[in-house]
Formats: sequence, C-alpha cells, structure tokens
Amino acid sequence: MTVSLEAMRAQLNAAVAGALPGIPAANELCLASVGLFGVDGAAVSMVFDGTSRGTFGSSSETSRRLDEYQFTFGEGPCLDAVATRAPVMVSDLDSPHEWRWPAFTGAALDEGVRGVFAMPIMITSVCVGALDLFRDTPGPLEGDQLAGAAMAAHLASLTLLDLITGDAPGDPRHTDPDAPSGTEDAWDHLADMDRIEVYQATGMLISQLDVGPAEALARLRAHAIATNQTASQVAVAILERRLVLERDHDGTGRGHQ
Amino acid sequence: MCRPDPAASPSALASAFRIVGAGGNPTVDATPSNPLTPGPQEPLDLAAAYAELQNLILDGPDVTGFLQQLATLASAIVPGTHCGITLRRNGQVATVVSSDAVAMRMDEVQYIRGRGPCLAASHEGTRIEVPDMETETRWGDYAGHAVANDIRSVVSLPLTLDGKTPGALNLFATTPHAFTDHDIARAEAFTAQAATALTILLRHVSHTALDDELREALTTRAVIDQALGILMVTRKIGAHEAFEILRHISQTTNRKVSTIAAELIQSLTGHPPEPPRPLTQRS
Repeated sequence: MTVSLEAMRAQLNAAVAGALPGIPAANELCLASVGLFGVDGAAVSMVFDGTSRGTFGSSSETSRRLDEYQFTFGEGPCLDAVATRAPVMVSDLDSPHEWRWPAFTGAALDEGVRGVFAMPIMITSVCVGALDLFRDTPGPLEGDQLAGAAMAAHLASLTLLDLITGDAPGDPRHTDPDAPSGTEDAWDHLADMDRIEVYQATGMLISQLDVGPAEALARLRAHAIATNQTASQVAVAILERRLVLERDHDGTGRGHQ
Repeated sequence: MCRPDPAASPSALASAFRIVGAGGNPTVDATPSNPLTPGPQEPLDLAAAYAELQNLILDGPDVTGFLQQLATLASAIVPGTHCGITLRRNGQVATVVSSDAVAMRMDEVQYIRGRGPCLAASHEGTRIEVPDMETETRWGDYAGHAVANDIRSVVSLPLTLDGKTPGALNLFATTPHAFTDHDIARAEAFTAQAATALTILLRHVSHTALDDELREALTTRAVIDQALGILMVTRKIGAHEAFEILRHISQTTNRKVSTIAAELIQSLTGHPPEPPRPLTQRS
C-alpha cells in the first residue's frame, strides 16, 4: 500500500461525489475503503438516537451481514465505537485476550474475519454511526491506512446526513436525475458546514424544531440543497431571522422567507 | 452510550439559567475571578505571561485548553482588548477560540464576509494593523460591520509555526488607536513566545492526533455555538448576549463555557454532545 494520503483523499471524494446521495454514496465509500486501506470489507452503520439504526452502506453482502450481526447480538466494535466516540481497533478477533463481544466474535470468525476496525462518524457534536472495516488476516492498520480510515469516516457523515433527512421531497436530487449532486467536492461540502454561523443556526433549529443537533444540521443542509444555496448562506438567513424552517414530519425543513 | 453527568441534571441547569436570566439582561461579573484576567487598567506582566505559558505546556498536550488559555492571556497583555485565535485546517480557516463574545462576533463577521484583517494576517504571514475602522477601506464592508459591532481598532499577528503560518492571533479594541507601538511590541513578543510554546506542545502529539485535537477544538466550538443558537431562540436575544449568559454561568460556577453549553444542549435534546476522543490505535 503506497497510496498517499492526498491520493486517498481524492479517491474517497470521487467515490462519494460520483454516486447518488444516501445509500449509493455510502456503498461507493465502502468499496473505495476496501481498495485503499488493505481490508476485505467495509460497512457504514447508523446508530441515531436509538430510533433509526442499522447497516446502510456496505462493500459486499458479506460485509453487510457481518455488520448486521452487531445489531442482531446487540454487541460489537461498531456499537462500542459509537458509545465511546473513539475508534475500536481489533487486530485479531481470534486472540485469547479478545473477550469483549462473545457472540459477535464467534459469528465473525465463522465468516473468516480476523481484524475489525471501527471508526466513529460524527455529525456536528454527536456521534451518529461508525465505519466498520473487516479484514481476513490479523494485524493492525498501518499508519496511513488508519489516517485514511479516519478521513473516510469523516466523509461518511455526508452520506448519513442524507439518510437522516430521509427521502426528502424538498431535495431535487431525489426527483430530478439531472439535478446537481451537491457533492461535486465532498470535502468543500463538509467545510461549508464547519462554520460558526452554521453551528449557531443549528442551535436555533434545535430549539425551533425540537430536534437533536444532527437532525438540525440535516434540515439546514437539505434546505440549502433544495434552494441551491450553501449551508453558510442558509445559516446566515436563519441567524438574521429572514428564514424560518417549519416544524414538520417529512423531514424536509421547508422554509419560508 | 450516554453517560449523564449527575452534576449536570437538566433541572439544576434550568435553575441556573433562571437565576441568570431573572433580570432579562444579564450583566457579566466584572470582578476578576481569575488571576489571568487582571483589572481593565492593569496590563499583564510579560514575564508572568511567559511563566503561565510554560505551565500550560507542562499541563500536557491539551491543544484546545492551551489555545483557550492563550486567548485569555493575550487579551490581558493589552488591557481592555478582546482576543480571537484563528487556525487553518484542511485549507479552511476557523476560529478555534475567543476570549469573549466581542472577539467571537468579529470573527463571525469576517467569515461571513470572507475577508478581513485576521484572514489577511493568516494568509500573508504579516502583521496587519487597523488603527481606526472609521477610515479603513480594505476588505470591502468589513470595516462597516466592525464599527456596527463597536470595534474600532484591530491588530492581527500571524502565528508562525515551523516557518509555516497556520493562523493568527487577533486583538480587537472598542476605541480607535487603542494599540500603541509599545502595546504592539508586547503583543508581538507574546505571540512569538506563544508560537514557540505551541510548537513544543504540538511536537508531543502526532500528526493524526493533532488533526484530532483541532477537530476536537472545533467540535467544542460547535457545542458552544449550538448553545448560543438555542439561547438566541429561547430568550430572543443576539449571539452577544447569549455568550455573556454562558460566560456568566461559567464564571460563577467555575466551569468551562463548553461544559455549560453541553449541558444546555443535553437539557433540550436529552443527549450529551461530546467531542470525539483522540485517535489512538489500541489492540
């Protein structure tokens, strides 16, 4: 593996930007992760407010099944990564010292998996899921592979934002195949949300819409995409009280000026 | 997954907010409760500031805490000023810490407009001075917004680490010509020391961990800003007043602003927002 971090960054971006938002983008991100980090499978799990949870993207059926074991058994590295908001690195599931997840470990070993690496996925200030990497051989992730996996988990937050918003009718990408994906540069897209005004507006939405931080940001972003603005522009409109997003049940956060 | 802090029960927090909000217009306790923030007329001795910097390094590689203390120290170097520290990360500029709401508000204006002295100092690696905002013509309408926010003079000093410029230390004042040559010399000397201290600190953390630390610093900012937004809605106030509320509670309860902010969010959403832990590979 001699892929530079910059090359990883570009390839991960291309995977997410080239796919339809949501699950397809998560699947592509998993496939890219398999190619870049020397692992045999990848999956994106979502653990959001305890209500919507499960495996959303994966590189293969096996990876999906492995990831789902954690929800079946109620234990596993992904759930621990979310609970502790820290990466969980298992270089060998078959080690006699590995006793954390008896049911999951047995099932994973039956599938031929030895190494599992789970990276938490953060949206604003909350952990909403994990990127799980599975490998058939034991051993740790190498330095740059670990850094790359952290980048992939960061990008995965974009795909989970789409899922939190749901199949939003306000999002033209779901109805118009020619609509811009909104993620030509996924990194720029993330940077646009990593701003003071966006966080303050998110706080206003937490109060106005009675939702959590992740959903508030998802609403803000959905409105930005639907109205072809940046997250920053929408945030400023909310802060200046020119825009009020309505409390509704379809997750679109439709606004009126 | 959620481990609520027993001291942070929603009811305790709610009562804290009621007390503060009783008059509708909270006033910040002007009495210095912290040796790092001396009275308004009394500049902090540089030797004392350097000693404090060393203590901060010895406290361990907590980059966020270090930067926050750095901003507080710097605002005490020139009395009556407000300090914000800007850092570049992944090409994106973000203010990681502010000494108070005034500095925070100025940074906001700058990022929304996309230009201003702090961004210029950070990008060009040179000192930027604005003696009087009333006559300032660089950066378009930035000066007008600064005046509207009661900022009249600014000094932005690049924070140079290992020959690169990852950011700037910015001092804001509410009067024109607030910074004498002597003040600027002191601020520059302090910034140079601070850059050295920061460099030493950063050598203790790997690149991955550094990115994590900066991310944590930004996540902390996210928590504070979200709390400001909540207060802006529930109390129908602006960001400035909202920050003063958080700051007042922080001072009277001797806890971090970010902790108060996290409790406020938890009391509303039932979930504690917490920054991600540092990235460390374990077996």
